[in-house]
Amino acid sequence: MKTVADLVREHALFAGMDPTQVDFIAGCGQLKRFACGDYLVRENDPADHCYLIMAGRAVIETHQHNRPPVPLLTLNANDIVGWSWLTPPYRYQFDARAITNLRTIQLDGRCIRQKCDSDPALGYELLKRLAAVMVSRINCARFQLLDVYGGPTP
Amino acid sequence: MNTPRIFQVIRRTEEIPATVTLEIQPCDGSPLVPFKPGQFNMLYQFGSGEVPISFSGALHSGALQISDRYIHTLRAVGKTTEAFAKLQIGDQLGVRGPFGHGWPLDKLAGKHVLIVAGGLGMAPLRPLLEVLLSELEKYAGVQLFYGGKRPEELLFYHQLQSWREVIDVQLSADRADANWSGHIGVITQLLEAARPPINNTIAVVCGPEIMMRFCVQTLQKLGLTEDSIYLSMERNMHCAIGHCGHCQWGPNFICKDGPVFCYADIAPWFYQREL
Repeated sequence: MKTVADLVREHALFAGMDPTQVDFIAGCGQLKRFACGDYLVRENDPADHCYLIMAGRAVIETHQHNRPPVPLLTLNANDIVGWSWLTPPYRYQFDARAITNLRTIQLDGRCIRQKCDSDPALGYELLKRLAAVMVSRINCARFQLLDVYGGPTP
Repeated sequence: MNTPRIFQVIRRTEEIPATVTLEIQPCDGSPLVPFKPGQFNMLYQFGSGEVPISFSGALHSGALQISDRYIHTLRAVGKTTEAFAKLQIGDQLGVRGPFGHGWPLDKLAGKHVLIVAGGLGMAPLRPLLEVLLSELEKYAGVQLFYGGKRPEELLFYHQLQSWREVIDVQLSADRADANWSGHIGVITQLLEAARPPINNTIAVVCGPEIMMRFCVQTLQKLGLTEDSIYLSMERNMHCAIGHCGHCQWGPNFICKDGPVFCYADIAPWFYQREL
């Protein structure tokens, strides 16, 4: 049976990372499953965790009064849900909901922050990886704003 | 080929708002000039003008054969295309073609084929997909990635469902409600997760140029080389035979040398903003 460390090592966010560092981070993790429809995180709740999606799909969405929630982005295996644990005030900014049964590794944000504070090399490596994910998400959000499919084609 | 022949509409399908598929046959009953997926016809609407429109289908009665009709899908975006979109069964139009270079079918055998479509760009890719599906065993794999602004703006919805039974079809919408089971986000995210066999993959891409640009960047990030990416380009085509110069793009004429190009051949021009 695979350990949490084994599963964390398999996730794309940690591909090629020093196994010692991965094991150190995996010490903050535990396996967590969600049924379809369950919320992983809710807007404005304390951002204590992030989730590495191992299998299944989730959606990032926001709610609005008297209207259905607005889905913003679908996330799949090898994606990460939540980085509000990284910066104050440590509160989630959006909802995340499972849209299939979901298998994740739940990482404790406070635990990771403490480990990164005590090991700056680990913190730098992890931030570089998270920054790449954030850049990709920002680019995708810009791409969505562009309405790139609207132009005529031959 | 340079003088319009008179065709008539024999079938008309409203695909999505402002977008119709016209199936047309020659009025004089003469045989059709065969076409290759990716080529286009110049469609002439009396009193309105002439526009280049790609072939959007090769299938007839559920089987791939030398068709008795041309199939074109177009969106009403200007005076001429609005006139075409209003055509009804029995109405006539002029047709010149087929023109241009199509998708590189000869290079696809044995390859893993990534088909990447955006918006109306699915139309020129449908004939290619129909050919691939008719001889699926010739290819290492076929995957379709298709993105649109909203789910209801994706073309050929029912066919997408049937294709899904035989190949990997991944759909993406910029915006959708909770009933949408496909991806919400951008098509490049799906591509990034595709993990195709890089050394044996060819990608064919069709959609608005800005979408193709982002897709090329993603495909290159995956490891695809410039010569394994093919694009269908668009410029203002008038004569369709490389004489008038309206569609000149660097050293190429889109109508004559394209519209399908290997990215390796056009990469220097792809980021030239003045062209």
